[in-house]
Amino acid sequence: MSRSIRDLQPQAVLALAVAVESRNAERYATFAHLFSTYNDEASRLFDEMREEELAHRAVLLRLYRDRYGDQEYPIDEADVDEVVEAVDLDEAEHMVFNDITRRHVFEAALRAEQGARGFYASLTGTVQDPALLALYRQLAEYEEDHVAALEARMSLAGIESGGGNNGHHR
Amino acid sequence: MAIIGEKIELRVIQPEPPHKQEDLPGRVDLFAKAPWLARLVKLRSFPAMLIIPNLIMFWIFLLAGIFGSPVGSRNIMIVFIWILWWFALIAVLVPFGSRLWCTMCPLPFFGDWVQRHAVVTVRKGNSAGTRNQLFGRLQVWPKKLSNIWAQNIGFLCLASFSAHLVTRPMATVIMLGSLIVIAAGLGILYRQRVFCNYVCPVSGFLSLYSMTSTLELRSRDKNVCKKCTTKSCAAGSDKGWACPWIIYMGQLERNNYCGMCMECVKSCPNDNISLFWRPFCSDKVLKGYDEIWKAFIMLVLAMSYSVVLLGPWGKLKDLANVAEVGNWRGFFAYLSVLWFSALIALPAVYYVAIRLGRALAARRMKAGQEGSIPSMKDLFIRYGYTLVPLGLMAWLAFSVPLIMVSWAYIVSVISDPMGRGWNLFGTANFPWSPYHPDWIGYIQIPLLMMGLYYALIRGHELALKLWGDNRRAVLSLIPLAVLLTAITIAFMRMFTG
Amino acid sequence: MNVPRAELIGVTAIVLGFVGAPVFSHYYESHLESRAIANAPKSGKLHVYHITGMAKPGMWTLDAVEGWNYWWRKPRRLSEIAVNKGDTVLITLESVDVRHAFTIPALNIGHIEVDPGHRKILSFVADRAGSFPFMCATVCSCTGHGFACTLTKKQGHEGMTGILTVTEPLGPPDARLAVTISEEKGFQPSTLHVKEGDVVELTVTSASNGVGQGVGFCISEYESKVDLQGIAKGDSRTFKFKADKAGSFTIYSSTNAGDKINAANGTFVVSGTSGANH
Repeated sequence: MSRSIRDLQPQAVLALAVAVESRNAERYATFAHLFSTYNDEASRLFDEMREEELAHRAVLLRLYRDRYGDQEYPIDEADVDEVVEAVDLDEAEHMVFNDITRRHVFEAALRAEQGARGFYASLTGTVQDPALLALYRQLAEYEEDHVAALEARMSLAGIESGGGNNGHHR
Repeated sequence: MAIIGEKIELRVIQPEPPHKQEDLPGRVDLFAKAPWLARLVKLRSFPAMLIIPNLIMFWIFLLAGIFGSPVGSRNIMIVFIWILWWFALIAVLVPFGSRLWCTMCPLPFFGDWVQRHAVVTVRKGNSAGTRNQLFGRLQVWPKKLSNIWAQNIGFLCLASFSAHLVTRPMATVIMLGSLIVIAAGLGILYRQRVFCNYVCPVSGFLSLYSMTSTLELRSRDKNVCKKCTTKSCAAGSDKGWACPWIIYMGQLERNNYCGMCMECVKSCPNDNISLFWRPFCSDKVLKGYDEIWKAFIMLVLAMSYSVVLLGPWGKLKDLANVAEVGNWRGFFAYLSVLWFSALIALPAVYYVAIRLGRALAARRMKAGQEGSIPSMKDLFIRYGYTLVPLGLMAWLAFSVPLIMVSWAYIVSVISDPMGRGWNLFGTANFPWSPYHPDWIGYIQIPLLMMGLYYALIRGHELALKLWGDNRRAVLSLIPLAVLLTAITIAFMRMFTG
Repeated sequence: MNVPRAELIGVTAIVLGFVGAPVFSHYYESHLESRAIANAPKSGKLHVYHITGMAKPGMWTLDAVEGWNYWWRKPRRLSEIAVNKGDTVLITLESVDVRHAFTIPALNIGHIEVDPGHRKILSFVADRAGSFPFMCATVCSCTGHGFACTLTKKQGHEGMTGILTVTEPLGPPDARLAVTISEEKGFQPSTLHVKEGDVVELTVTSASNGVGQGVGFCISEYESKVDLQGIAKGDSRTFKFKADKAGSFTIYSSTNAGDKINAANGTFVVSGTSGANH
């Protein structure tokens, strides 16, 4: 980690957004694998979330290519200090107590998407460059769509968002 | 109380904690301060370099217990385990080293070996949700047993026979031998350290009291963990085994279930795991009824051990000592009182104190604020943490006379580990000479006071978080504080006569 | 198979430790015994006895009482140590419960205090023929053993007695005799015949508890050779002696063994050229 996302130019920001979605997909894959022996449903959900992230990546990649063609920009989320979007467990001891549920998976995904939305939204207030500002707004809208889609899915599954327990399950 | 086994939802009123561990109060990154320590821990031969000597010692203890003198004070099995190890565990390892004992414990060795087919090296692969090649049946431990109730009951069972365990080497051989067989059996059937997480009675004890420890193994920066895509601490890698304690370091906030095997230090691709020094009693969250009942049980056992093993009541000692005395009816009466006190009486008194405190604090609530009154479940479990520092100090106070009165046995059994007339280092006939027994009371009382102090201080912090207001927090704590003080006074009277 | 070096070192250390501990124990104990033997007087044949004192059930025993059999032990009482005159006796003494004190008063040996879990070594030359009782000279107690001692009963002390029988080396026996003592029939047989000058091997077996410390078996004027002060039911004692005095001698019980045995005196007949009658 060497620099802030605020120091990046629009091309780098967009390339970073693509990379972030890729990395998030990898995290989902890791969690799906990790919980595969504990809870099939949770593991499957993590896997579905991975596919969602890859779909998000594809959208952002299209946007990138529309603007910058096939010219790759070598940047990864590890190159910036901030956490843009990173799905994470809410609890270190999920496997100890074997208590992961689909609610936990949805909420982990929602936290990540909400975090990304908030992050991009917060950046819109910090830049003067119109091109960057437009890009941040666009990214924030994308994430807003992801949040809405996830909330809709949770609603379908009978899970209310925000009903978590702050990590204390037992 | 039909609350055992229920799930609770705990509300935590607290700001988002800093993502860097060093930003938490009083944290010192030991690996940064002492890079040699990090290098040592990252060696593949660590912790095998500790476990192997311990395993051989364990073997010698078993041999001594089986073929050595049946006289406890002359057998290394009893003297090293129940005087030296026990004291070291309570006085040093747990308060200053968290679960460092688990780092070097030989009990799960054979279970680990069955799963890893390795003592030192690590094997990359893809089994049972990890990135390592593991062997054995690798089943997942049943969800219903994924708690520490088995440890609670196991510890109570062992404690029921404490009078024999601490005096007769063969009793300890049977106990430790059984534990190592069970650990190996569970290692064959189930994945990772099922024995340590859910079965080992000592582990339950360590789990609870390691919360007080001034040492913790944590990720340096939680944001780095968030960004990590491999989660190698939990999943393993070619550098380290998947966490045998099935912990995800990225969110670890308490010591309870981290056995400090240091595999995550090796496997972390970001060098983000470190040992931290921290203030005493830094972990403050009990999460389940199994954990708080552990606190009840341990406190009652500290009292019962003190009464039976140190107290002047010979008749009580006879009741507990059924194998020598043969009074089965008396023994069952003793058992009934012990189990009733640990599982029902103390929890009931504690429940009443919490209930009273809640009622006192709730009276200060304005109309319409009722919704913000913490539930009984929240309070019952969260305030249970107050029993942790008090319990640890009660155990320490109990252990002080053990070491001060019986330390000379350690010197003599070093030369004659089996009580068979050996004299390896010339100390076999070192005379039994208690070290300043007149000081014992003066050491025990400050220890108990310290336990009470931390119980009340941390209780107040918890109360503030739960009630969000100092006046209500204090009111809610008053009955509990009275109970804790009464328990402390009872210990003091017991120890000082 | 390519096993990493670190793995080999680890496994080797474990195997060495597991094998080494019992091997070291065995050799160290052998070394201790060799040293004790080297320090013992050199006379006649060496007899080594590992004697353990137990307050409960009150006995000295030659059986090992260790951690594994402490609760399930069925040790046999040591009622007799038999050696020839001039032999060396090496005794290691242990206690498994409380402090005992081993003594053979007639030979001015002891008392030697044996604390639980400690081992004392005693060696001497049996230079006097005869039967010499050994016993525990202290009231067995737990004093001074701290928390690890749970036996507080003063029990069994009285039963901790036995006999050291020192006989002249006489060569192979000319006559082998066996006598049983019972309350119903007294001494069976009641008359024993040997020739003057015979080396006699006489085995006495008790089928009676008698009173006090069991029944006794003595032969008048042969008391220095056959003087059994007490023998418990089921126990046997063997005497080997030279019938060097001709005549008819009374067999009696020296203990208060009850009327029937006391009344059922036997006779020991040594036929010789002089035919003296006692």
